[in-house]
Amino acid sequence: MKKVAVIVAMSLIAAVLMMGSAQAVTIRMIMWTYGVETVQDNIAKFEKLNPGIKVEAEDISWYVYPETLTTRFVTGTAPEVIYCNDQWLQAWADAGWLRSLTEHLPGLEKYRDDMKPYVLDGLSYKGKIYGLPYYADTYVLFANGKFLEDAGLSGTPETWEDVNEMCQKLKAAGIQKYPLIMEFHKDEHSMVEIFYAMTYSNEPGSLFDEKLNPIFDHEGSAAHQALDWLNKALNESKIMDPASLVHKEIDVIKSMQAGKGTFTLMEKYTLAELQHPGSSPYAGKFKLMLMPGKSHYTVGGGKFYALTEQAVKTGDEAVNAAGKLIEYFGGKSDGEYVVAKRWTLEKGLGFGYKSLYEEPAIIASLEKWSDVRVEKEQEGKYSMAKEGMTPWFMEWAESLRSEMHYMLGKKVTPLEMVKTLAGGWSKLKKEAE
Amino acid sequence: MTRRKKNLLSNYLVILPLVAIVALFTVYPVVQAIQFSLRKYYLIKPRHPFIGLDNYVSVVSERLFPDSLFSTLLFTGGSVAGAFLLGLGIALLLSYELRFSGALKTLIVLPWALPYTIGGLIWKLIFAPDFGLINKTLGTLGLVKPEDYMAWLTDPKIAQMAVILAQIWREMPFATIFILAGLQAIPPDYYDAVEIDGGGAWTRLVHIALPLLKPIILIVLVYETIIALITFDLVYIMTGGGPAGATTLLSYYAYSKSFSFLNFGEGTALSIILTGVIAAILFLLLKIISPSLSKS
Repeated sequence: MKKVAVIVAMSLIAAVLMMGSAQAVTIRMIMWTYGVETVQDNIAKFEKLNPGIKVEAEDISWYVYPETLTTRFVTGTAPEVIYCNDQWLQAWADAGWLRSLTEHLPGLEKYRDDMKPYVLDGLSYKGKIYGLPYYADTYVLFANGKFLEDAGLSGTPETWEDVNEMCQKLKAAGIQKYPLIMEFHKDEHSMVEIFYAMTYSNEPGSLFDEKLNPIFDHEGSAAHQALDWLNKALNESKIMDPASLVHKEIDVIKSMQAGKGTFTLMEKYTLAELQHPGSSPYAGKFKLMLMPGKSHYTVGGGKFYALTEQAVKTGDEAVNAAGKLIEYFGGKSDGEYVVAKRWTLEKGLGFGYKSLYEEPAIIASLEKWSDVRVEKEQEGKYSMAKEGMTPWFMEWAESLRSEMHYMLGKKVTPLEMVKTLAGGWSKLKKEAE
Repeated sequence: MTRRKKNLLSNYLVILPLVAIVALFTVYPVVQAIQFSLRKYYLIKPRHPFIGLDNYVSVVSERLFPDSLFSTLLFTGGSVAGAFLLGLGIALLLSYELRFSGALKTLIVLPWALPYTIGGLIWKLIFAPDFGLINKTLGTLGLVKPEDYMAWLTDPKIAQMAVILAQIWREMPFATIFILAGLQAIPPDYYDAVEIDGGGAWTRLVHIALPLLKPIILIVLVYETIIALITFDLVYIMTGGGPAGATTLLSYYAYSKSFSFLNFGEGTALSIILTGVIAAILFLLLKIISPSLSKS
C-alpha cells in the first residue's frame, strides 16, 4: 500500500513538473561575444520576471558574426532574437529573415521618439523599426593626455593636419615612433565606420546623392581626402603604426594601455575601458576630443535586438515572448531602461535613448571617464547615421575593407580606391534594381 | 541469366550501399558545386538564375585572381620543396642510430600532431609585433629597440614567406616519417657494396638511397602538393589573406567569396578552378617523375 502511495505521489509530481515545463516558451537568442556573464545575469533576471519564458543564449565571435548568422538563416536554424548591426539590417530584412517590430510588435513603437536620430535611422528600414537599441555609439578621436603633456602639446586638434603636426611633434620629442594606432585588421568591421567618420568630418552626407548614386569618386572629395590622409599617415609621414593593419579593437586597446600610441579613432566605449582604474599606468589620462575636420561630424551607429522570421514562423506565443525579451533588454522594465543603464554604468557602452542623458547616475558615471560636454556636443550636434544603408551595403562594405588594405599597402592610390568603390557600388545598385 | 552474370550482379548489389554512401559525400557535393558555379547564387537572395560561365569569367577577370594564382603557386612550390628537402635531411640524420633518436622522432612528429588552427596561432604569435618571439629575441639580443619592433605580417613579401615557413614546419614531419621508413627498408648490403667500392656518404645518397626512394618521394611530393594547394586554415588564422591580398591563396579566395561576400556562385567557381589547378599540377608532376620511376 505504501509503495503504491509513493508511486502515485511521484507520478503526480512528475506530471506537475511536466505541465510547468510544457507551458514555458523557449526563446533562443544569438549574440556576439561581449559581456557574456552580464547578459546571462540579465537573462536570469528576465526569466524571474517572466516565469513562462525560457531563454537560451548563444554567443558567436563578432568577426564571423554576419557570415554565421547568414548561414543560420539560410539553413533555417536561426533563433528568435538576435543582436543586429545597422550594416546588416537591410540585406537581412529584404531577405525576410528579420521582421519589423512595427508590424509584429507595434506596442514597441512607443520607444521611437526617445531614440537618438542616428540610432533610429540605423534600426529602421522603409519606415519600420526592426529592433530596440542594445547600445549606440559614435566614433571619436581620443588621445593619451600624458604623452601630449610630455611633448608640450595642449588643446584639441581642429583639423586632420593638426593631428599630423601633433604626431610629428610626438615623434620629434622621441615619445613614440608611431603616435597613431588604428584598428585596420582586414576582418575588422569598424574599418567601414572609421572611413565614414573621417569622410563626414570633412563633409557630412557627401557619399551618395538622393538617388543613392555615388558622388565621392573624384579627386578632392571628402572621402578621397580622408583616404589620402590615412595613406600619407602610414606611408609618408609614418605617424601611423604599420601594425594597425593587423590590429583588431582589442589589440589597439592593449597597445594604448601599453603606451604604444597617443591617438586613435574608435567607438567611444573603448575610452571607458582605457580609463578604467587600474587597467594601465595611463588610466584616467586619456582625453576625448571633438572630431577634427572642417565639419567636426562623425558617424554614429547602433546595435540592436532584432526579431527574426523564426519567431514569426513559430507562432504568436513565440513572437510575444520574443517581444518581452526585446523590450526587457532594449526598452524599459518597470519604467526604467534597466539593461541599457547597466551597460553604461558597468561597461561605458553608449546608449540609444536621449532621455538617459538626464539620469544623474549616468552623468556621474560618464564624468569619471569621458568629457560629458564634448560627448554631448559630438552626439547632439555633429553625428549622423551612415548613408547608403541598402540591401547591397553588406557586400559593398566587405569590398571597402579589402580596398582599404590595397590602398594602405600601396597597391592602389586613394583616388583609384574611391573610383573602385564607386564603380562597385553602382554595379551592385544596378543588379539590385 | 548465366551463373557468371548472376555472381557479377550479386557482387554489384553487395557494394551498392557503400557506393551510394560514398557518392553522397563525394559525387553529390561536387555536382552541386558545379551547379552553384553556373548560377547567380547569392545567399541573401531567394532566386538563383542560371548564368552559364559568367561566374568563371567574373572571378578570372578580377584584379585579385592573378595575384592569388601566383601566391598559390609560390606557396605550393616553396612549402613542398622546403618540406621535402628538410624532411629528407632530418630523415637521413635519424637513419643513423643517434642517442635519443626515439625522443627526437617524437619531437619531429609534434607539429604534425597539432591541430592546424593551433599551428597557425603559434606562428601568428611568433610574428606578432608587440610580443612575438622574433621581436622579443631580437630585442633581448640588443639588435632592435622595443619601439622598432617590426609588424612582420604587414609586409606582403614577409607575410608570404611566413606562411610558407609555417607550412614547411607543419608538413615536414610527414615527409620525414615516410622517407625515414623508406631509408630503413633499403637493405644494408647495398651500402656495404658502395663502401667496398670506395664510395662515401654522397655516393650512398645519390646512387643508392635516392633512386630506391623514388616511389616514396613521388608519394610525398604528390601528397604535399595537394595539401599545399588546398591549405586554408593556416592562412585564415595567420594573415586572413592579407596584407593587401598577398597571402590570399585560391582556397582562401573561394572561402572569402562564399562566406564573406556571400556569393556562392563565384566561390564555387573558384573552387572548381582550384580543382583544375590541382589536377594540372599533379598531371605535370606525374609526367615528370613517373618515367624515371619506370627506369629505376
